[in-house]
Amino acid sequence: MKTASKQRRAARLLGLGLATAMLTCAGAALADDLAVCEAPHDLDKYELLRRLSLDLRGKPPSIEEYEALDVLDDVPAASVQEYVESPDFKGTMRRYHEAMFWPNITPIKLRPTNIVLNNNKAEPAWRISSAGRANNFRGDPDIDCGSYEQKFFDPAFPGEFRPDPAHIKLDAKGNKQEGWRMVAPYWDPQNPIPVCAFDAQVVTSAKVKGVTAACNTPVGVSSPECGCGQDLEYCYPAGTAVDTVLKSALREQLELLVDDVATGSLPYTDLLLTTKAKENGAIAFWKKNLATNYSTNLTFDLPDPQEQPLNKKFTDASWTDIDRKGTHAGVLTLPAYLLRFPTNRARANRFRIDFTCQYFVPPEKLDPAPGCDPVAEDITQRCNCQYCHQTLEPLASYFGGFAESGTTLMSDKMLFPVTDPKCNSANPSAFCGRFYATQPDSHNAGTLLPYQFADKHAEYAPHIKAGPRELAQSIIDDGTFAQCTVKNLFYHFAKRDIRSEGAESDELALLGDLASGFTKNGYDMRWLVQQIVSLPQYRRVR
Amino acid sequence: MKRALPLLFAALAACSSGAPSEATGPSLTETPETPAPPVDHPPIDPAKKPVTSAVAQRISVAQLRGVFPVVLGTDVNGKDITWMSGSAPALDKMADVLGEADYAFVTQDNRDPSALYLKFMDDAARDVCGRALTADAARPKATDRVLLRHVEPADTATTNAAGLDQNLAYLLLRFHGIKVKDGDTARTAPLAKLFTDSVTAAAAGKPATATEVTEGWRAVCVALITAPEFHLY
Repeated sequence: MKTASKQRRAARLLGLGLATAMLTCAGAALADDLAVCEAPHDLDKYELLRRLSLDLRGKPPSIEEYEALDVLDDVPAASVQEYVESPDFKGTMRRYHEAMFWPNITPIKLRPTNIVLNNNKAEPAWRISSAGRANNFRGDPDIDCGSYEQKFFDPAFPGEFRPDPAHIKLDAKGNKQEGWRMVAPYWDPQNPIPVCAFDAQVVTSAKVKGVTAACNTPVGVSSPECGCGQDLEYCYPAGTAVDTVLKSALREQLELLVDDVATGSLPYTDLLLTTKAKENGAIAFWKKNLATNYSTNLTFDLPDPQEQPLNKKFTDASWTDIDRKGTHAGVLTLPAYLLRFPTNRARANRFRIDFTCQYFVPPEKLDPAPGCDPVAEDITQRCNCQYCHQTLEPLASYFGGFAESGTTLMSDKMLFPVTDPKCNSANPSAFCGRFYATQPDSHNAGTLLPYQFADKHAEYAPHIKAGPRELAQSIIDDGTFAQCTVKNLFYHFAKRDIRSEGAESDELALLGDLASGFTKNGYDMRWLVQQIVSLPQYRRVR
Repeated sequence: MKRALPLLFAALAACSSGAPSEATGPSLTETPETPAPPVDHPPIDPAKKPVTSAVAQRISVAQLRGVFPVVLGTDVNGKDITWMSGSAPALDKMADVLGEADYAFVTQDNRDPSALYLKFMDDAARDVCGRALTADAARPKATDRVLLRHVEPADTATTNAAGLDQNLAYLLLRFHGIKVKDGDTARTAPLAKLFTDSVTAAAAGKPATATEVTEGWRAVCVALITAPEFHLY
């Protein structure tokens, strides 16, 4: 046995050695080629098919597809057509756009701690471990519910499952302790879980300081009468059961729009212009029941004033078309984009990179402009900063209508007045601190942040009102969008820039032709892809 | 010798890089992203500019997920063959170290054919080739087989030289998209030598059986997957 094992090992080592030797031989041949590597050569039809298949389908051709070329002079146009109409091409286009939008929002925290149900194995049931909520329910944050089933509920409030005061325990200090009850949670209705009865109360609204507030709002949640609601709909579970599903859904929502414009029937311009989107149960449920309970130190995701989330169960995986109306602008105002690029500057800069093909790169040496102010509050006037921000700030103002670190269209003037004197304070509320210029010595204290310097820059207010769709329309109208799309796609397939600038601009006419053809063909992404992979440049390699 | 491999990849990548764009503007520089030659790449002869071709590039991890099942077919259980680490797809498990962007913390695919990438591709090749060979061994009909399509399991260069050449040409097309012209044995010769030497070594002086021949095909399969032609396109 040992001998056979040694022989196999020797054979493997020999094989490895020879494989390496072969590769080295191949390497020597390649090394010879290096001398002439700047001389491009046309791909033969088999190499071309492989390139096309990898680029368009993300996989190589099958042996049958290779062999079918034996009787043909070249890769037929029908093959390219077939590739761009394949389901695999959809995946390729998704990947291409992921590199533009970075739609992974996994690290972003969406859940306020005071509405998260924890499942501590040392405790008898799930409960909200937020000290404030526990204190409200029982009088002491360290007391959890008892390890018995709560069977008696207050008959004065039928259906609300408030523990009957006559059937809860009181300690010497008057602190309460209730039992638990089984609830079928919205995220997994087939598997009921024990939940502390106070936390599981099914109350929809409560009076707080004389005002009636919904239990899934920051005000209502402070009431001891408010629990997690029907099927725990006002609470998140700890762990990934809801968080992961929701974030995946938001990513998928963006990808579905990409599908529609890149491989579906919509023009590519709708990537930036459409007010339509798709919504599934997870997103609709989140908007309706959970996002309403915001925390000022987390993402701000209140539904838009005119938004009416679909009445879907969280587990409903089907997608329904919705119209978000207002100043919504395709991918630019989808939650995944707004959360991934949390500031208006980040949103505008990403837009500028993706759709105008322009980048900010700091120079090696900074030369402050004559007369600039090194501490100017308005960053477009501050020394050095101004070079980028004179361009960036007006673009960012188009996104000023949307909450930073959030998704909400702030068009409710009751909630977001342009100026709020209460916010002009050295000790502002958390809400003011989040959305307003507050410090009395700051420029336009008490003004909503996007408007803070609107008096000095006349274009800001119209930009905020128009929203990013107007910005998008402007680059579509002047041809920038089409040209940048051509540049991006050319780079993606040829793996180099199209030469259209500076001393090397021999492909400027090609850029113009492709951009103009893209426009004339209704911004059909498949058409553009087919044009680029049919170019001699694509079919040549070095 | 294996250290030469990253250099080969680097050299190939270097050949394919375009010239960097010139900076414009007084204090604010706006520069399109562009591939640039490695720092140690010799200057490109201006007379040979502009470069009118496309540029070669390493296949991505996403493409690797698509490549293995097409090239290697299915395993004995009928499942698509891909590189596995225990019961998990290794291309998912190792995605970050192989350079795949997750768009949360890493926002750009790293397509460098790094030493780490080559090490893992070496691991991958041994894993997937083993399962492809096991699957082939259970397929009596040659037309059903993936790796041994034009030979029988015990065939060697001595017993079926023509079949060996035909099979190697078939594998070059299947793995690399390289069409070997009929009778062009020069193209298949290095692989034929690798096959024969591996079989001979495994047989250790005894007559080669299908078991030893399998070692020859294993070496060929691993060589094909670890070759630059598999990873660059």
